Amino acid sequence: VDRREGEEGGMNEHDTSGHAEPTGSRRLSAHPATPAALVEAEPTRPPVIEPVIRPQDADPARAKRSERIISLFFLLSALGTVAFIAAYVAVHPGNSTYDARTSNILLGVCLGVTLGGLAAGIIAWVRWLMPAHETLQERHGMASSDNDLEAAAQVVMTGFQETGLPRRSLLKRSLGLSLGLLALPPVVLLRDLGPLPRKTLRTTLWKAGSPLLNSETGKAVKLGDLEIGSFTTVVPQPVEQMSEEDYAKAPVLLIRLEPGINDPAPGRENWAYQDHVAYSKICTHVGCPVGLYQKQSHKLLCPCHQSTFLVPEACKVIFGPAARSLPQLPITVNSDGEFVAVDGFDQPVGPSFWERG
Amino acid sequence: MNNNDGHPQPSSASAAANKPAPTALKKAIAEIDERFGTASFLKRNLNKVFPDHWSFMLGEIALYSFIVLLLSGTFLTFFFRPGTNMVVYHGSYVPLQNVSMTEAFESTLRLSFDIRGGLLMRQIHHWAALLFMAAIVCHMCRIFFTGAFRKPRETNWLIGFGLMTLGIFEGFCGYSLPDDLLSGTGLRIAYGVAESIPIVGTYVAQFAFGGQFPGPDLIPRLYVVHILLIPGILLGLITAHMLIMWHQKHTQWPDAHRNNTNVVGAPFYPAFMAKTGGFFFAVFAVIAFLAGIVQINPVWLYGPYNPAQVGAGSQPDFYIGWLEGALRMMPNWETNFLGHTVSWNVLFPAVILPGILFTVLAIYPALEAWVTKDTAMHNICDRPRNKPGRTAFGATMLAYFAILLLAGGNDLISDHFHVSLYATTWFFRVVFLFGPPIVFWITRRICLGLQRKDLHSAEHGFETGRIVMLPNGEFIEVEAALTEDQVARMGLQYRQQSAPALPPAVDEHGVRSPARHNPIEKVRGALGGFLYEPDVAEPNGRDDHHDEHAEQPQVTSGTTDHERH
Repeated sequence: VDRREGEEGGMNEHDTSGHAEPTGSRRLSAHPATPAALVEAEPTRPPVIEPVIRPQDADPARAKRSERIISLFFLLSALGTVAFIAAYVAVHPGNSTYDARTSNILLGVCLGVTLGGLAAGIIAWVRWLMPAHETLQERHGMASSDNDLEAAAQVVMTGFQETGLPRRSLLKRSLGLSLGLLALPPVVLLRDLGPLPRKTLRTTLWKAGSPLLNSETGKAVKLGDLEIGSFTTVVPQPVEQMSEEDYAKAPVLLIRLEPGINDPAPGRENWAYQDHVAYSKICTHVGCPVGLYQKQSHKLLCPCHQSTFLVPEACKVIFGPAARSLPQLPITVNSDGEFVAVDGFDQPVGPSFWERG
Repeated sequence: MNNNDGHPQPSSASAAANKPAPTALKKAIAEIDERFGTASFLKRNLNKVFPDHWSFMLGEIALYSFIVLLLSGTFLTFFFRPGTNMVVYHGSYVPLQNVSMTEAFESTLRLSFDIRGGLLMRQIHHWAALLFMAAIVCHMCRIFFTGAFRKPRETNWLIGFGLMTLGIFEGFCGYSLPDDLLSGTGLRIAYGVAESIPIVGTYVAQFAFGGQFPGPDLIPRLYVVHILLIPGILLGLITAHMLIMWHQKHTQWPDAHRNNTNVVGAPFYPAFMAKTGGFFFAVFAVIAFLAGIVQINPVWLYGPYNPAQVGAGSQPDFYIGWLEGALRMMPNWETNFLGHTVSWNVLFPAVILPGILFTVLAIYPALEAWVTKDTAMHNICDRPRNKPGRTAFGATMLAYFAILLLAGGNDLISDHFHVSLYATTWFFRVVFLFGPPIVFWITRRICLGLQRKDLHSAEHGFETGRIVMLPNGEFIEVEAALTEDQVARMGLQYRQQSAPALPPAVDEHGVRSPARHNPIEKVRGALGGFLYEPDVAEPNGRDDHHDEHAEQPQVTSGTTDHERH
């Protein structure tokens, strides 16, 4: 059984050469009148060991039908492209969020149809109309002959001798020094990637007298602003006035506990003010904001890795990977009834680091 | 032409090939050949035979996702601005009007809402990245479980490992660029991890970020790393990966035709070339549909990064998720010694553990070759069941990663199943310690069971389920023999890979083996025996264990003889 499709599809366009032979002999002859340039010792194609005959090979009508289906896929793809351009022109995402979504769906689906049609067409073409015979090639061992190996080693050795490196130790050592030092400039050049850490990780903007400003509104928080059991995020300066680096260390949670449940740590008896306590919001694990306050159980939970701090007991860790309590900010209220810091933090805020101690 | 060399002659392919090439084509080939000498190269490589199996296209998915990433990423660079200067948003997304944000986030919003097709390209890029990593992981599993990393392909395993590692880093850089609340939280964690490194941690962190968190320089630096440095390296490594694969030829599954010294499949040109080209469009089409229909990383819902805020249920992409899980389940150990702090709670899960897992992964081919003393060329894929030790080891590694990944979603799991968060975390801690060894044992037993089944079928044929009554009234089930091809596909002859676990204590001349007294050799031998020796009955029905017992007396008698002398 022969297959004509491959010939029709692939080669006929080039038939202008004049070398084409009669169709009949092409298919039947094992010794075609091949031009001399193509005659070679090796076969043109790898030998077939297991011919695969498809229904399309046996039935030209079926092959024709397959061709039509494949062409339909390609037409679908072309339609997808036209629709893509139409959608691009017709729907502007900037009009509304709804249009943004519509535009995205239309463009994505059209592009998907374009590419999918092309994919389906090509794969069907390969599977239905191209030969799928199993062919065989021998693997040629990667390894070279012993002679070649010997010669290669000898070349390397001879060249190495010619450089004089094995004999001239001064040359070798001075070159080694020179090349070794050459590694330094790139390292030295990286020095100004960033500042030295120095004490920067130990300090925050909080100092004695810093006001506790609501981080959203920038207004000072007053005694009585907070309901019992509620909390707010406060900062020492309006957010716009702080550098990003200062702001990242600054957030503090001001929490109003139920009366009488705060159990201050020794030496921190005066750090709270009338059931209001203030703790750094930056987790001591890897520095996420400890954002979830569970009012009933008085627990602060870090949503990143679930470190849990018990607020009435000096924010000690009761679960999760954080190793240290949240640092406490001593607070009081000034003559205007506004919360202020009595002092800065007595320890670095945020994650641990080698020099922290 | 083909029937000249005595192979069976299929009709169509050769007949089609017999049509002579037109002059124009020959002239073109000659013109190029005169300048580059490419004709024999062309002939050889167009005829290159590629074996076909569905599992061989996993790597293709990774390759094509990478091309999609390059295309969509280039589009994104036309509009994205990697700046950390604060600007006020006045674009068309109403909920964030007049909100202060970085240029990076503002331009991401502009891409999503004011550039036609911008959101599509963003989502194509993100989906392609996920597919890239997923395909790499699946492709690596294929290579691992079939032993396709063995000689001569160890280098390509290492390159592939490098591609995966770089891919993880590249993905992290990429999703950090928009500077939204989620990605900023990820960077905060990365800063904390860097700080945990002993001695140099604070320097590493401040040099990388250009100062304290969030640092003025990180986003622009990540941008260059993300769009130039890593893609450049990836491109180079992928090229090397492909060239080496091409040169060494593909592995293949065993059958009646396929053996260790040949390749059976379709020639590269035209069928394989067309099919793989079509497959590129298929991969791209799937990504385009996903990007059109399934929303991913809606940064406008998270809002701009703010160090005082965090979203509940924050999760990274899956290829980072296992690190997140490790951070979550680690107990809160920290030591202070001579004024210095080591935060094991961060250092171990985020630095040491990934270091161990990835080192084992990288050097696994060398480890296996050392244990088995295997220096042979391997071009035939192992069936996973035929190497129970390796398969069980791979399953164990996967189990570690899977448990870590699930632990990274402990909050979502607790929420969804209404279980205490702490109980979930404890569950994962216990499972992490005790689960993988159980996975190892179960996988090994399954492999051995499947091997036994194969051996039984090879020897006795398979049970047809047909019951026949013999004239004497006896009922028997008809067993049908397997074809030669079916037996060959079991790959039973490729089971033995290693040198003997350990030489006998005393050889036939009565000389004591030095290996028996070398502790490293002892470890090697024990590992080899446990992991890589075929452990199941041979096709002739005898069991290896019985063999050992059978040989033992000889060895013993040898020893006795020696002692007697």
